[in-house]
Amino acid sequence: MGFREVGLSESEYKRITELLGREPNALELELVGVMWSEHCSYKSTRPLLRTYPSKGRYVLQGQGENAGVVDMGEGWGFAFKVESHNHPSAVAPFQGAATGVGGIIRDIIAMGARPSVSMDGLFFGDANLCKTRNLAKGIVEGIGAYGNAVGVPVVGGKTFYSPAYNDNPLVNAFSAGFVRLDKMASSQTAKPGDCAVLLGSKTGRDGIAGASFASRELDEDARASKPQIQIGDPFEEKLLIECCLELLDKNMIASMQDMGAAGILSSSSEIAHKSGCGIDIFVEKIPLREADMLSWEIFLSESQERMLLIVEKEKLAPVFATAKHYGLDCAAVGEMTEGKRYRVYRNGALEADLPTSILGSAPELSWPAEEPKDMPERRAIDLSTLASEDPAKELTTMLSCPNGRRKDAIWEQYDSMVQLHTIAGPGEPAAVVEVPKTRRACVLTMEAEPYKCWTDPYCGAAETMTLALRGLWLTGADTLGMTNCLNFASPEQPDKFYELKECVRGLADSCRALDCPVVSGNVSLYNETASGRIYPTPLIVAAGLVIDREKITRSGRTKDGDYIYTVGKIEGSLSSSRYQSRKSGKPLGKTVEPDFEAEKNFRERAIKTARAQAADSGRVIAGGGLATALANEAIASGIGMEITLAPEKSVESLLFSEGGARAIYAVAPEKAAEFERIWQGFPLTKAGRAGGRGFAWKDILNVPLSELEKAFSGEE
Amino acid sequence: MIFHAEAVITPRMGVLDTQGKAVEKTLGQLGYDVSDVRVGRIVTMKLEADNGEAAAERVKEMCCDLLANDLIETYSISLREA
Amino acid sequence: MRTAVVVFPGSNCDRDVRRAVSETLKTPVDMVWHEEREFASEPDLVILPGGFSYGDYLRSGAMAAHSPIIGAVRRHAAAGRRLLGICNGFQVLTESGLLPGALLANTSTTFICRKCWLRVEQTENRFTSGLKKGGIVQYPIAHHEGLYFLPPKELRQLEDDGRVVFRYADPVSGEAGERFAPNGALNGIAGICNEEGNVLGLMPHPERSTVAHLNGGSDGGAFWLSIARDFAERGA
Repeated sequence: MGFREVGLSESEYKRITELLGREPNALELELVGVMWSEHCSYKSTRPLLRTYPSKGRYVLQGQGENAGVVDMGEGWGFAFKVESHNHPSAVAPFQGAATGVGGIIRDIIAMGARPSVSMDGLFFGDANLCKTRNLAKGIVEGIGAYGNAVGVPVVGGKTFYSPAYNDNPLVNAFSAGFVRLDKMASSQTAKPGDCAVLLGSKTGRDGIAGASFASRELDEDARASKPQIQIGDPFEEKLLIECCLELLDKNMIASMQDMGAAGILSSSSEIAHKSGCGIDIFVEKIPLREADMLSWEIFLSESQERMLLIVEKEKLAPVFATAKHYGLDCAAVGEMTEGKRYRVYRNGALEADLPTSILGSAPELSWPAEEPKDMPERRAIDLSTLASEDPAKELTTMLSCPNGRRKDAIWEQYDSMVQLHTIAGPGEPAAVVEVPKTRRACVLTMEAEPYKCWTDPYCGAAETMTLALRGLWLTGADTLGMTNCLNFASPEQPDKFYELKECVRGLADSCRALDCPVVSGNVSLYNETASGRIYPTPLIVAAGLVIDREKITRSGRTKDGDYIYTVGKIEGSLSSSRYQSRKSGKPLGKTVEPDFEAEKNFRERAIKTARAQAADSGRVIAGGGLATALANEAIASGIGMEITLAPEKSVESLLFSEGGARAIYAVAPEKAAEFERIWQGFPLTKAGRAGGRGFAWKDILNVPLSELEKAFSGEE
Repeated sequence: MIFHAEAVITPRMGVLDTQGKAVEKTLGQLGYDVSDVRVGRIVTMKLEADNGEAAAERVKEMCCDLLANDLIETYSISLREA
Repeated sequence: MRTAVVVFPGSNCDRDVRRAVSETLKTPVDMVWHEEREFASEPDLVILPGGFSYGDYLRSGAMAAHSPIIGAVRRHAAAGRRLLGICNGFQVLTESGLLPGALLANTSTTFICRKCWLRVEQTENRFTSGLKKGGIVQYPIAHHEGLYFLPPKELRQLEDDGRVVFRYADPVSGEAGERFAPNGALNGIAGICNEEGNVLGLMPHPERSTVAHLNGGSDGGAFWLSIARDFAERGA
């Protein structure tokens, strides 16, 4: 077997022989090949990801563990992470999405946390295509089938349609869990003499070499490669959750790692390497589904619902007893050793002998970056082509288009209430979750701005990050940190690597300026086929902390007679907005430059507003601009509005421009003075009043609220 | 003797089969002219018994006990020697 | 009143039920693993919670109905003590024959999770005696198989015997019936009881409507209080 068959380059192969001091045998080559794949090693992106700020006031555990953990106070940590499962979902939507959910949930268990919430960022192709509808249906069903059965509520998410994703749908699965700080688990605390124990499903041929599958572009052969798809069993996962939590509660585990990409191989090598010891694995001790599996198949298998536990010898008996109680397979398959060798034995024969460090030390790749030659075309925009002849019709189109319409047909297929801690769930701009047995709450927002990243990766990524944070601040939450899923095309072309590099720069700068550490994340590259590629799609989930759950600003609670205010600039930019992309057929023009000072000023006042309960309701201005935010607020509250704002640049700019720190608030007249005092020093405009059942905008449009409600329900 | 057994379990007539209805509708949309589509399940197994009758009896017991819900499902059993 | 919540492999609303009952009634709640053959604590109320016992494999509740604990559950019910099945728990009760009928797949063929309004049809049983007959309550639903089914003759008998306890309803008009059932349940039946009134099964989740600041509503508190009051007045 040559090095190319395992996805290695000639120079990588050379490096391996240098590190080993000899040529690797077939099994060793297979093992290193998978661990050095892009998906497992992040060799193309590690230098970029190092530029993220990772420390913060609330950070307990940054990148390096299975998931990041932040301090919620009162002894509670919050572990969270987002992960992609794009390639498997493209080929087998139901199982690809289901196992994506299962995988991220296990990352949370590996931190010692009970998986408490989940969200999904879904990017589908043209909504009118049959193919898209079938793919979307399979993916949504897969997420629901797994998440509902395993008992983790879906509290939010994002669904986005664009032809750019026709052949490359994206499934970004986010999960998070609360953990008692004195019960956190780690993958860094194994020591020589401890036993490596495999808990959970038997190992089969599922997803063999799925990791290198994810590192290659999808082509016709890939679609025929069904055996590479993993099959999920949420019932087994639920038992795994309960068993692991009990083991942790009783202090029976020294260290824990979930088995995701490259299953046994990656989990065992990572624990050994991070803990600074070696490991011996005895292949014949691994419970198998098919007796005739070869060693390389066993190591690379991605059979789901398995965890690797490191257990002190004295505790093996109670660990096995607990596993038996839950009906889970449990086997001691290896031993941590002194020295730093990764050794594989089968029936006494030594089959592989590698330094543990080699599996985690794929040489970093430094791809060249060059601004795309078509960037001037991407940025060229003739604003006169965007003029709206019929603003009322434009608004109903913004509300009824696939990216604007209500999505409860999707999220009602998910259990959003199990575990009894959802305060604000799907359909609301920010998810709010109760921190167990406290008055505190965690706020979560999920954002992506693919159009803006296409025309200006740096500004688009910065806007994505700040938009996610604005959602936290408006609720009244302090920033805890963020996790990111970077969905991009191939890094091997300079123009595409440029997009990745610039997006990371935009995220890193924003996070640094706004004190938002990056605690975890995931990179998915090669999201393209011969016929198309995705927009650069960095997806952000931001987490915030609220000390008193009564002191938050919600949405959809506008009351009759409330004054409607806008905070921030009245107009942003039409470039690469939902409105412009629809009118022009594709995103054009670069969005606003980030203004971090303005963001900080917004943050301060938004949080004050929440703590003082000065507003009845509030909403960040995002996709579809001010008119969409007002319409969404009116629909959610069931109350009409009379708006009196006049355009600065143009009607369409006033109604639909996006970008920058902007929000709307509904304020009771008796609180108006206090509200205006809080917002002093920041652009503040009284935009109108709430009341009645009409939606009227002076000199611009006047429609019954019922018409907007109908549009929002997808009826044009 | 070892037998391969197959229990085919289908919804009773008169019981709402929402899956069957959905499948019938989709088949229709694809251009297939069908009616009375029912979606059931098959449980296959290997078991040891003295003879075919004993094996069939055993599988029947399993159907009554667990595999089929008599209120809403009917079942049929087929057997062959391994 | 002592409460026991049975935990099957795959149950996932057990801890929610414990919280709802213990916070509302301030009484002890024991969690009982399905492999036990007796209730050690001699509970007054046994609850079979929602979730996906055995992954809902084969049929929802089918395998749980054969769990070791079911013998003790039957004896508890036969002794006239209170037995409550919520969602998957209701499915276990029908599969084990402790309540008549079966729960089929929703007409939408999808899982549905949303708030849900019910009309209280009957207050003679050991659970809803403290609620207002004909009143509307809101307990959320979250299920894939909630379509209550009985063949026509048995269905008529169930209605005539007055054993329908909750019916899906419209909160504005107060009307109830099949056309308000999100899942197509026959006659809009959301919950039923046995002849003696000590066994109740319902698809909606009252525990999700108990903690006021969460997104499930707050009508559920009255449900638990009704049970506790009935216990206080009439005993086990």
